Amino acid sequence: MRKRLGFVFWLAVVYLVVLALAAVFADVLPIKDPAETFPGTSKQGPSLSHWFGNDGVGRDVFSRVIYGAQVSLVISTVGTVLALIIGGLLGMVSGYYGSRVDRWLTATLNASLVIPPLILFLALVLFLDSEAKRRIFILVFTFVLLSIAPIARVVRAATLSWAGQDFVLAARTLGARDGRVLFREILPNVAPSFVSYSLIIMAGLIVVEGSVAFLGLSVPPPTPTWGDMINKGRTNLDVAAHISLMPAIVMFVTVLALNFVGDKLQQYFEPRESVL
Amino acid sequence: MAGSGNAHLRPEALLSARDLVVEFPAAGGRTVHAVSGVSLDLEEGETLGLVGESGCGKSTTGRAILQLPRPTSGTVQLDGQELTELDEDAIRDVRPRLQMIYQDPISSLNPRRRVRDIIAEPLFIALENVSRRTAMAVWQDRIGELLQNMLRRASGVMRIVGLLASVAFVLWILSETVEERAAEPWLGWTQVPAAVIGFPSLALLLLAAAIALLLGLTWVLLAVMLPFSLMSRQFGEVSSAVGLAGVVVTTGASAFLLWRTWSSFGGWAQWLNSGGLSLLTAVLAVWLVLSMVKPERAGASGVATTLSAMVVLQVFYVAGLDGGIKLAVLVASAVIDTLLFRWVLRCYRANRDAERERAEPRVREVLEYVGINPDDALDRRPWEFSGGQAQRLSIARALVSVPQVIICDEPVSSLDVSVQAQILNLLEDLKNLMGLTLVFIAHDLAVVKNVSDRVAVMYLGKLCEVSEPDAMFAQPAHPYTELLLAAIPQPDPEAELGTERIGGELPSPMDPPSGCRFRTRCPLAAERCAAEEPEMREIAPGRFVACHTPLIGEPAPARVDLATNAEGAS
Repeated sequence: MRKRLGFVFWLAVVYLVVLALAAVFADVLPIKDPAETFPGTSKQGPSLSHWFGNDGVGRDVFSRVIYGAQVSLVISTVGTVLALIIGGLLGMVSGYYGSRVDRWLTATLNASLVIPPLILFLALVLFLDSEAKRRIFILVFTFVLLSIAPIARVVRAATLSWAGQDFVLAARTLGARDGRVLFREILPNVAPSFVSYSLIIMAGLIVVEGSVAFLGLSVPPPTPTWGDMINKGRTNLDVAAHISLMPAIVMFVTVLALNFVGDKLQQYFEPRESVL
Repeated sequence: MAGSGNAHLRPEALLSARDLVVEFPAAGGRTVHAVSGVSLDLEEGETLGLVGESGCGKSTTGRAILQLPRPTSGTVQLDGQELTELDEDAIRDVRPRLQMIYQDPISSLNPRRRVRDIIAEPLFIALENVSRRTAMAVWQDRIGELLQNMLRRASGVMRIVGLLASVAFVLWILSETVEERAAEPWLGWTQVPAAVIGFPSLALLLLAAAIALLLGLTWVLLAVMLPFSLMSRQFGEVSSAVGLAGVVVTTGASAFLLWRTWSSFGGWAQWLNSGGLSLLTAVLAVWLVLSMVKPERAGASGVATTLSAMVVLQVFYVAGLDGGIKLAVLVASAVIDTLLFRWVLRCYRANRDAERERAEPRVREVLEYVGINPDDALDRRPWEFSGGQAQRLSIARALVSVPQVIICDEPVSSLDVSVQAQILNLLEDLKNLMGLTLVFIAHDLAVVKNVSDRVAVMYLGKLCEVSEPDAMFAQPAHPYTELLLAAIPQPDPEAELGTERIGGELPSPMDPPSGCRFRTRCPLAAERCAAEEPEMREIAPGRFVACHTPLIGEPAPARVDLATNAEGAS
């Protein structure tokens, strides 16, 4: 029986690809300048010329959402990839070597889970950040720090279960080094679980960016970000809900799509052994 | 009864284990005494059956012989070589001579790999371990080979791109060194040529630079040399002296570049915006090259990770450009990206296929030995096989490295009866064909009887009896052996159920009984059994038993040894 990914999966993938392309090519796409204010259009609802309407000072919400995607996507992708490499490595080492290495790594990682994310973030912004330009790096840095522990735990659990299999023992019996056992025998089996998990982490980071922006700590204006747009639209919720709603919907759909793709991939990659 | 002693050992054994002790720490500071002083030996071409209940330490003994994990104490000698004293590197070289076949054939084969790779794995591992030892020489050979390979495969377009890239690289180096960039955090116009040629081609160049680094050329030298080499299709051999000098120079140059960019820019963010980005790319490029030089180590996932990391960096890079130029750069990058990725993957595949091709004749041969049709099997994955076939694959993998001793850890226990016979016959044939020596671990006495030249009975980490199978089955000497034999199910529905089976549970290996370990369940247990541990002794020719009151032969002579008593009682 072949497993199928289904129509909705491809729909979600296409959505994500289109969003990513739009963000990358935002400069050259025929969309409005996100900084330009259109006179007399303040708080105007969606129309043909301004698809998502205009915000409090008359800027085009649609183009700001596209530009906002740049920040969201860069932060979530880079953050996840880095966290995946570091966390994945730590998790595999911890699960494979066991005993003392495992105890220390697990203790450290668990300890890092105790730090409240928001406090850590505030501290880093306050102490490291003097210049707005660097804010995006601090965001990525914090997100990496925050995602390492959860990823490492998932990978460690998967590694533990695979490392106990006879084929790992067989590889060692053949004289394989630890590195080879880790990367050739264990990684291919563990990878599906953390690749699909990473998409869920990615979705999480987009949401975190939103909440951080709500505190005014994300990438500072004039660069548009989704969280910042939702935050700014808050004051006009009663008269022009679309200012907050549009970026919120896009964020919602993006997060949903990422989660969905992650879930589906996880199911898809499940070892076929279960079929036997 | 179940006791120690070495009376059954022979002097001219191929494999000899003495007083093996394996202990594992358990919760609460307690110790699991999995194996407590087992001595075994095997002559060349012999099959030793190792039997006992679940949990008696049979498998642990087998693994301790392989030094996985190393025994707590005791010695293991293979062909006169002491294994317990070897360091990790040396033991890796010995392991191919000592192979293992596992109980669960499915779990002993990696579900994500194809049969051709699984069976060839011992060869790849041997190659890797050898190449590590003669690292420098082999690396140079292989990198040279790879480079030739890359150049041969570079199409005309690739060569022009390479040429342009090197021009861009020189421009970039110039702009790096000439312009004072501290005031301007994002990319300036001098970077545009490099950017328009495309970030990936920069990466391509740095990739080539990384090869040069490994060969021992400096980046700058390369920027001059690469176009010529690409044109002439020749890249000269470099001697190790030049190589060494090159490594020193390159390391110095990179350190200088790093320091210069770091000191001229305020922080790491800005550093990343300028030269740092390229340096990161260089690191990635080196990684990529390594993964292509050793494809069987890095795997497609490694290459894919590197490539995606490059794309992420590219996003940063492009984001720093002006809007007008951005489109041009994006389009150029997309085209060059595609070319580069295709080329890298093709080189990667070519290298991997070359390794596979080299291994294939051997793999086919071994598969035919074990009765599997290579044409059907090579490209399938383990879970597409039945249990019996998978066990054949497992045997094939053990044979590839031409072992002297194979430890079969219950190789037929999870197979159905008709397949069991096939596998046993196969092992027997291979044994005769290749002169193998086998340790056959099993709990099925009937199986052991048929294959073994000698049988050792284990109970709770100790040996009870070592005998020829026929004599043992006809007339067991140890009470535990007798009970084991009585427990063999008879395929006769009318037969009386053996009510006198072994009563009770196996005692905990964390707290083994004093004296003879079997005394708690032994029908003949006497006071002496609790006080004194029986020694292995010969009671009849070729029959050794560790029991004070064996079922045949004389009872053990009384021994007044306070030290032993105290030890046994503790």
